Amino acid sequence: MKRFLLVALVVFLTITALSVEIVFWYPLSGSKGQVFKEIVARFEKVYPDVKVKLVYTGKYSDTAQKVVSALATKSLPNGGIIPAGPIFTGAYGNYKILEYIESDSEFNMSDFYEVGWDYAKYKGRICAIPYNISTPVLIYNKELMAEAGLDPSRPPETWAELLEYAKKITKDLNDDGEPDVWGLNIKDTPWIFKAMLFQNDCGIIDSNTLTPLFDGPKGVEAATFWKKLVDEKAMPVGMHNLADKQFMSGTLGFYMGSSSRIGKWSGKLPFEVGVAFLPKMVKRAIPIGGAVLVLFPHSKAEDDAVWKLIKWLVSPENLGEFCIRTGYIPIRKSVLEVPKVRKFMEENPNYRVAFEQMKYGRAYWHFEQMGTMDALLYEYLDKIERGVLTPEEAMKEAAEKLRKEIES
Amino acid sequence: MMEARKSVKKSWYVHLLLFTGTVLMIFPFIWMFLSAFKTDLDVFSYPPKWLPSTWTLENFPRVLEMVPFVRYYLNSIVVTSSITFGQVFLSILAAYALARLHFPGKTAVTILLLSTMIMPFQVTLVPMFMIVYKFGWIDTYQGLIVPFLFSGFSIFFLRQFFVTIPKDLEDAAKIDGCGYFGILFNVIMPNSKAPIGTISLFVFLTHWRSYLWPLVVTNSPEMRTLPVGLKYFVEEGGTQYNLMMAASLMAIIPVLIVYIVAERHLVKSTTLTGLKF
Repeated sequence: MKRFLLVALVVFLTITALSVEIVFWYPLSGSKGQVFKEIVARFEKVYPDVKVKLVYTGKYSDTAQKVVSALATKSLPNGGIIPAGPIFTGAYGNYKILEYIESDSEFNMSDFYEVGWDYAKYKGRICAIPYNISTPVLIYNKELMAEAGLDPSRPPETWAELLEYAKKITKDLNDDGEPDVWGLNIKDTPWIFKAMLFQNDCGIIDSNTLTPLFDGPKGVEAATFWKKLVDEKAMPVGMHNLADKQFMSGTLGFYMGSSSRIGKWSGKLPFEVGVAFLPKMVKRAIPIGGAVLVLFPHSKAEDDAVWKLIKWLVSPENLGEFCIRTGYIPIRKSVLEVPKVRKFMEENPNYRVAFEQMKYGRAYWHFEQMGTMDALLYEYLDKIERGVLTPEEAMKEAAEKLRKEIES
Repeated sequence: MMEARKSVKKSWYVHLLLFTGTVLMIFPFIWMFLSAFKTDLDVFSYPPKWLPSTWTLENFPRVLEMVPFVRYYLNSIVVTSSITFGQVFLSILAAYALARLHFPGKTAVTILLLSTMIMPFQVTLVPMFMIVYKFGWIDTYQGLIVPFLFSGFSIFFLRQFFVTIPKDLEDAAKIDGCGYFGILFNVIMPNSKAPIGTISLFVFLTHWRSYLWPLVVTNSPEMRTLPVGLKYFVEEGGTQYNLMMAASLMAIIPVLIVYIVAERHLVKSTTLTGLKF
């Protein structure tokens, strides 16, 4: 007994002596936050020598604010789930995570979708690992489709079809000249417009020279189509903030937005909800969005511990569980092979769409003015809709402003 | 008798108007109260349900499980009341000096004070964080409280009122042998209960709901405040409104108490000074 106690004591002491504490930031709240905490708690059980201090950092913009403050005072955590992570790592010359990726033979880079890596690059080099990623999908109201004489099992495949179908769904119920049921609405207009650009084979920004590319003929073509959607009453002018409410109240045929809506709406609304890939223009393409895992270098022991945690988080089983329970999209192909995930996709065919769409994912490397670009696109799409500027003028002006911002 | 009946008759539409206003104001509170007792399904049902189909108390323990609510609560009380007391006290001293005393550079100080009011908080956030970091106050009560002990707005607000107090009162006190502090405590402050009450309420409310600074300056759950806890229920893909409302209901009670106590002063002073906020 005495000997056993002694051994136990020695083991305990070694563990305490060798144990490291790491600070890890995360911007996931509510039930998503709880899932993440559970996965990390299991990590601590498996690796008792690593103690993880989790810090909730608010939503994405608050987290960015916190990282900026920490960068200014050199009081960064050991790692975290950080939105626009490459801007806070690669942009400061921190490519530490790449060293780990390359030197760890257990880590299978090619299992990740290529687009995920693009999303984790700064100036073409990997400086983060994609984690909680969502993609836009087309969510539709099957009842409204049937009412308009369309086949609810055949959602629009192309933008031309989308325009045609949406026009059929738009209806003015009380004859006041203003439609009460709309065919299409889009909440996050810059995100979906970037999807259209990719689908029209138009680049958004030249990664090497940081030149905006959307003011060329292909970009103008996409913008002109946007205007057509509004002119032909397929989509309302402005009013994009109401898209979610319109869909939930059954007065919107097609909703384009984050895959996170699938779990929120499927089976929970009084009408049947369908989910489909985004329609294509000349090809299929889906811009991805979300946050990435990063490592801020400290001591070797701490960095090793962070790497261990990151590997744990993106292991197919844990990532699969995370995606099933939060609605994020798996960024590794092998996640789709995990039995639990397979079963989930069979039971929830609507999710299958989002998960499988990932192979069409597209992303551009991070650059500092990404936020400005989205704000400009938002502003100029609005100007197009309201007829303040022609699509061509709008794209030229937006690109010009972005160019100036990048140069300054 | 006739008079009274006449005035009742005349006032029914005034009351109708007031009643409508009351309903509009109270509606969010009632909605919050009812939602706090709804199940996950009820809260998202469409068309919206007024009453929960089953009244559940489950949301409250769930809130307590997801965030250390009691600790956040205590922190909020400690931080907010320290800021309120400290800021109002220091502002009274400064406001009196600016209103009544003569010293070199007074105009320059007043202009500097005013200029702090036009600076948005986001601009000063990072520099302020750097200062607090240098002091080693990250994740401490000092870091949460000290930066807000000074407020240009509070000083200016009180100064504007102090200026209007008749000088004769002060002179009388001086003849009776009062020094500066004697005048401040015995003449100025008793005559300024309404503006002091108003500014206290204003400071309390501002810091009770302050979110960004506590989030940025604290890291451990032991140091965080209620708004940070409440935001935890707001999710990217959809907020859990029943939990959020249960948490809000718990959070709002102290504010209501403070408001009911200070309300009399608030109303009096806004009508007196014509100031609005």
